[in-house]
Amino acid sequence: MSISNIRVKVGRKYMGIYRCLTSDGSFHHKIFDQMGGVFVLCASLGHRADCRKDLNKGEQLFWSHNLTAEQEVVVKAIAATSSEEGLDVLTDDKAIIQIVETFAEAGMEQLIDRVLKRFIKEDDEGALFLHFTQEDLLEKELLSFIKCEAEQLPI
Amino acid sequence: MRLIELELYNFKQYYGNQRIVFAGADEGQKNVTVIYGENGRGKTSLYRALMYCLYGVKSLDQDQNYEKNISENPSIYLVNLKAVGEGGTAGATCYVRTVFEHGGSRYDLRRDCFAVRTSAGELFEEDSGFKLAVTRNDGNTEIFNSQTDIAVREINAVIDQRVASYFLVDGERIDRLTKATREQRLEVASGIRSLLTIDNLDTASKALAVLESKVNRELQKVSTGDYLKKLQEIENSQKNLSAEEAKKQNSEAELLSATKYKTEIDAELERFSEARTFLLQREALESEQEKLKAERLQKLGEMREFAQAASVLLAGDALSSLTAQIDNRRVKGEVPSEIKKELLERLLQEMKCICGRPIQTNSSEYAHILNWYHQANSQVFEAAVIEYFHKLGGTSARIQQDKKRLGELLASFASKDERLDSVALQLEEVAKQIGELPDVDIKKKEAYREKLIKDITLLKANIETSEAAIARLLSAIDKSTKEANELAKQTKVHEELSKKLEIVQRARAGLAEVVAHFVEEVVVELESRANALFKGLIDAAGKVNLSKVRINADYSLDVLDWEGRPFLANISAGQRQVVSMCFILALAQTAGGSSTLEMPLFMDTPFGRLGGEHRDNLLKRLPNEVPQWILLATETEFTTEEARHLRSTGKWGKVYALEVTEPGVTTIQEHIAASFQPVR
Repeated sequence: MSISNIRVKVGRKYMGIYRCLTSDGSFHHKIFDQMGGVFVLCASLGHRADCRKDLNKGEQLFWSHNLTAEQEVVVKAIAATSSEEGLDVLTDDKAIIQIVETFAEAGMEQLIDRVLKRFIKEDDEGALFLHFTQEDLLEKELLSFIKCEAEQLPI
Repeated sequence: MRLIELELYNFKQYYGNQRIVFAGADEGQKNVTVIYGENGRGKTSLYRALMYCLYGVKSLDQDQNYEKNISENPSIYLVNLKAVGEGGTAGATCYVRTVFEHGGSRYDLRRDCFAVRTSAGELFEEDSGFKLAVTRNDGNTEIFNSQTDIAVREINAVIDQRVASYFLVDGERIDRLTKATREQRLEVASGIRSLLTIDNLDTASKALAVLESKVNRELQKVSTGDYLKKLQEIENSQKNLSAEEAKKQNSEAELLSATKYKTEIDAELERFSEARTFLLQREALESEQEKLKAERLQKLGEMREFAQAASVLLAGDALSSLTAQIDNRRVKGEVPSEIKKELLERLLQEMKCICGRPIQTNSSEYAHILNWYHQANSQVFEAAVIEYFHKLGGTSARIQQDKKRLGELLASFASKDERLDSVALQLEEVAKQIGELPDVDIKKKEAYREKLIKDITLLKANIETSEAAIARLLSAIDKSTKEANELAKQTKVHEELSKKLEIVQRARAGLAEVVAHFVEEVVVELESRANALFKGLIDAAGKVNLSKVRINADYSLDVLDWEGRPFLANISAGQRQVVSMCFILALAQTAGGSSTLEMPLFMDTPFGRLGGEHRDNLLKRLPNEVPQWILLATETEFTTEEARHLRSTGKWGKVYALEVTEPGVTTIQEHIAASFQPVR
């Protein structure tokens, strides 16, 4: 059973980052096709670091059914392994998403800290966005980061 | 022309020297000469003598076959036979001398003939002398000692041979002019034309016709079509020549330009020859650099495409943990597998075990089955878990693959980057080697040089081709021009011939018109004069029955009756003779353009078939119509009656009687006209 028809939220603060990473700019291509990719990466980062963070003024960003099959598996896995209900949480899509949202929120902080820092800009309202060009090779930076992190996992 | 004298020597039957002096030679009042003699005495010979002397003719109209075949008429000879006999082998000479006056000049003409009888007895005659002495008004005398063309013209100018027969008339034959035959018409037409020298116009017209035919033939030989075609040929060739020359010029200009560029490039390449290696190396490195950049860019694109899949690569621990949990529960049996809810329902419904033993409701077996059935309701979730478990496995496997893929992607990118860096370094080194040389694309220049070389070769070939074509065209134009010039000459000739033909045709048409008008006018005048004479000469009966003489368009003579109807067939022989005579006299008058013509009327057997009144009228009128009238009359024709009538005109001046003194000899005896008495 897929998780569907649930609006996934992220912190308002990070909306700009999500958008920058998933859209073509004047000087760069988009890095991720869908918001789900960024979300799951951040959620994975947060889960791995066992960090969760409540959304502060969360904004609905994308529909849950836009997650790929693999991303949905990961989302459920993150929820099942971190919920007190265990596997039972798998019956509750809403709960799954809520749990994962908190991990994603924390994971984004890590992503910013470890990869996106030099590209971060902040507007007047405190919202963050990215400023990078093709020459910054952000896609390589991200993938290199992912590879490096993945090699540390005992799979 | 006025006959003065006729001298005969041994001519025909006139043995020895004999002469006749004609009346009217001095323009006196008396102008009639009668030569009186029976048939056979030589009257016609006098006429023949005159014809012989003037024109050298030996035959008369009555000797029709003579000229055609002498052997058929062997009797026509001129020299007196007695004299020939006397001459023996030496032969004999005869002559005729005529003295006449015309236009103020005096003509003394003599023509000699020699005859000898051969040993075979044949008589051989030939002309042996000619002398013409013309004493002009100014007293000068011109002498012609032979019958030259000038001499002939002199004589014909006085009286043309062709018309002579009209004035030296045979009375017995004169009525032939009134015979409505083709010959008659031709004779009349001939007479008109000869006397009025219309035949000269005919000759001119014939000459023009011949000329027209000749010009036409020449014209047909010349064609203008070929000339125009040749001109077009030349024009086309010249157009092609211009085009070819322009082409050649273009090729030469391009060749010049290409050669110049090649020289420049060669010089440039020469300058860069030392740096060539480095320049080429630089080009190669730059090319590789570009390629690497493109590949790197492509790799970046692949990375971006991979990012979505890479988003799950960090969830490995979560997946592993969960997989372990689920697997553990499976091992504990907390997660049955493959038990179908439907089987349990069937067992409870049938209350029969799968081995077939009935199941009692209070049995332990029943309690187990029921317990499992209850558990099965909560297994829906478990099924989902199992399903999820399978997905977990799939995702984990996928993550492993993607990790490998990620490594390859990054390594590939790094490789490109590394190579790019290497190329950049090499470029720096090469640039150092090249130094201050400007940025030159040697390969491009060399490629352009190669192209120029090819172009130059092609252009040279084109120029050669053009030159060959030009030479061919020039030769063709030269040949065509020569041919055209020939044709032009012909064309010019054609034009000239066409003009000439037109002129000739117009001249011919004009002349024909003139002749036609002239003849028409002449015929009208002729008819008018003939009728005037006719009225004077015709007898009383004729005056009543016959209204006029008519000359038809075809030159036939006709006589109209009192109602204007053609009546010629009905008139008498004498009337016919009168009509003919009127025609002849009218002809003479018309030709002379005055009331009379200076031509003596020499009439042999003048009265022919004329009856009394006609004869009387003739005798009365004719002396006034002609300058001289020489009658050669027989005893039967010229009786005392005629003598009286003639004498009464006061015009009778001379009379000669022809006497046969011995066989073959006639003597001319002059008598006094005033007192001459005919035998009858």
